[in-house]
Amino acid sequence: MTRRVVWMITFVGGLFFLLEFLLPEQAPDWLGGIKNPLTPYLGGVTNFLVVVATMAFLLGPFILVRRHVGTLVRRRQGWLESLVFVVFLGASLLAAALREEQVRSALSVLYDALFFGVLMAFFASSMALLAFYLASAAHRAFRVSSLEAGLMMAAAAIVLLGQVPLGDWLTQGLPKSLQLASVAQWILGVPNTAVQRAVMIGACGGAFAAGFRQWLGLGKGAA
Amino acid sequence: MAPWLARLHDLNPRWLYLATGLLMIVPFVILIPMPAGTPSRATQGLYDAIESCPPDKVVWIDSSWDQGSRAENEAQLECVVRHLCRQHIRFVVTSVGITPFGPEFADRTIKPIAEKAGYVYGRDWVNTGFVQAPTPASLALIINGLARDFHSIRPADVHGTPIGDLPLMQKVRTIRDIHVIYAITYSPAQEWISFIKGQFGTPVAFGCMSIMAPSYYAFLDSGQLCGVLIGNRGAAQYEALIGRPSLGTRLSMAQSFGNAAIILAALVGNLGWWAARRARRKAP
Amino acid sequence: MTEPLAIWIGAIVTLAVFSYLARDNPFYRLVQQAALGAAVGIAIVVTWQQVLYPMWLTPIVKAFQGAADWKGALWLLALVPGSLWYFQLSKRWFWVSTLVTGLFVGVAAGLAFKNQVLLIMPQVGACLKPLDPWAGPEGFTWPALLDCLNNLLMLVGLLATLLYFFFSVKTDRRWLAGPMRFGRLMIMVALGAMFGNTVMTRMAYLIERLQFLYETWLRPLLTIHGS
Repeated sequence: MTRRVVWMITFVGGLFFLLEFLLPEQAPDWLGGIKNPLTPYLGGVTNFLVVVATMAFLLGPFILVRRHVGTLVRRRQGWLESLVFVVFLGASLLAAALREEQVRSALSVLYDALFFGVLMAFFASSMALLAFYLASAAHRAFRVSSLEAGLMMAAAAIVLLGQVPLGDWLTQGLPKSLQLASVAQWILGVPNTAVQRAVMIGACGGAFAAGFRQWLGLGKGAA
Repeated sequence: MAPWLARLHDLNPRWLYLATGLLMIVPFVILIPMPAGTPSRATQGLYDAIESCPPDKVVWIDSSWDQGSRAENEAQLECVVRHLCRQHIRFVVTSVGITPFGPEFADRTIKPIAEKAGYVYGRDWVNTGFVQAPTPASLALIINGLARDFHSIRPADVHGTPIGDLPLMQKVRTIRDIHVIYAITYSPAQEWISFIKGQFGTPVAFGCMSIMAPSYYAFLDSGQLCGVLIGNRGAAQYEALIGRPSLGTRLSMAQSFGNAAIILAALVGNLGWWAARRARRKAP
Repeated sequence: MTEPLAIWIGAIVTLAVFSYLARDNPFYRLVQQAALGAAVGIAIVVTWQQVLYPMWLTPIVKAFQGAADWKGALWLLALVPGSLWYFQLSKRWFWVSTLVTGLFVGVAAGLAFKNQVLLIMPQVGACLKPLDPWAGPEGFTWPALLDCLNNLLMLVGLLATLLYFFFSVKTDRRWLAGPMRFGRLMIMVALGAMFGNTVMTRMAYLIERLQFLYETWLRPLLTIHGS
């Protein structure tokens, strides 16, 4: 019974948008010239769905807080990290909610420290670690052991150098069409475009099939 | 064959980390002048689109980047805002996506440039804040909604001011008031192309991280995208077009060393691997 | 303008993260949890202030105060599906959350058709490019010949790549080996281009952090002490 209800909700949700797209904006005159009856409701339905989707914003934080508070209360391993999480969560809630924009106060200084000092620095630095790992991977794993591998590495090297000033400097004496920048643009604009387009067209068929399966509730794990 | 060559492919990774870090610091300490290069078709496309903006229309910038993609997106936003201010083109900023930090980063980048150019908030530019779109479907819904009736999806700006109270937004209600859309984030969604360019024909341009650029060339080729700023290089080329080298140019110069470091690491690794293979074959 | 305290904290956090390169350490883990806590807190406030408050709560309050149309009070009904998300937290009542999940799955499927049609049809059209160098308004020119060769390469490459990924029928025939091999080589070139761009992005992250450490944090310090 529940599965049927869920399937009906899924079907109706998809049917609205599918019909809104498939039906023309206005019927021909010999059909009365009536306008698409669903389009006027599109704005209201959109707003409703946006609000409902956003209402889930406390789900993730709740799960995290539950876990960390549980670790703290039971003094399990890693309780210090949980304490730090809870303290910074509280501080950021306070600073973000109560600070006044354009006014320099203790809360705005705290907000700056949390936003730029902690949040931005941590996530940007975590991404920066990847550069080091990439250097290590380039050294250990990228072996030119076949024609395909050699072709791939050559294309990578040309694209790498062709998109930075170093490549312009290295080949500045050559004719424009033979400079690294031009060759890199050619690689990106011709073979790369052909492959990306082929993958997109192939994936489109899969997306249609998957979309139909979801909409009609035919999938194995369908609700 | 020198035996140390065969050991090159088995170096302790920490030495590599140190070498990479030291090489990357060089361009910050020593200013090395390098040629700026010719702007690519992708960069030129966005520049031409903004240059052709009529006075009765605005540019819509969707700035949905945060600390995770600031490395390349900040320069891409900065150079375009400078161009808009120079041409006295008004613009509206949204942040439609996953990250709620987008409006804050956009504000901090745009405000100094806009204030210096004499732009008045509310009259010449507006930041309408964040709309959550965690999935492609919700992104499509919001983009579609904004294009049909901007005010219903964004009833207030980032400061909580009712959108109808802002002089600029009294003239901007639907996609017909927009000349071009410039979406900047880690990987701008293809829904911008299908639901804006595909439905309404309004030109769309992207500012994206280099890693996502190869997938957008197909859209550039088909004309579905009018321009793409790719990484710091795209920002540097744009800065060259507006005649104002800035953050993108500086970061692009440093990028040369980074790319060279990876190529050197791969060369050293392959040299060591080849030498080790030769040594193994020669061994009795 | 960023506060000096924020710059110092940013530098310490950056160095703490980089310490992970040596090995995992408690300093890194503490900084990680601090950042997560800050991110979650700020995200909650921003989502409320910029989405739910203006779009949902304000129309309800205005309707009850008589400052706007009574229909604004109907937004209260959004609480019904909106609260269903939280049934995911219960093992017994998890099935209730599938009602709202199913709605969004259906919406996504409905929008996917429109998205794919509007996205892919122009791509198919863009495959049809001129292949005749004499067909242009100026007749034969060398740039026109180069363009046609590029167009031919793009078309052949596209078909070869599609053939390489075509698994619905057997493709082990001898006459297909050549095109499939060509498709494979094209894919390797494209993968090389993608790898090159991946490297650029990763390096950009490190450049941004080094720029912060050197230009924003260290250089002002060295300037002060130098003068």
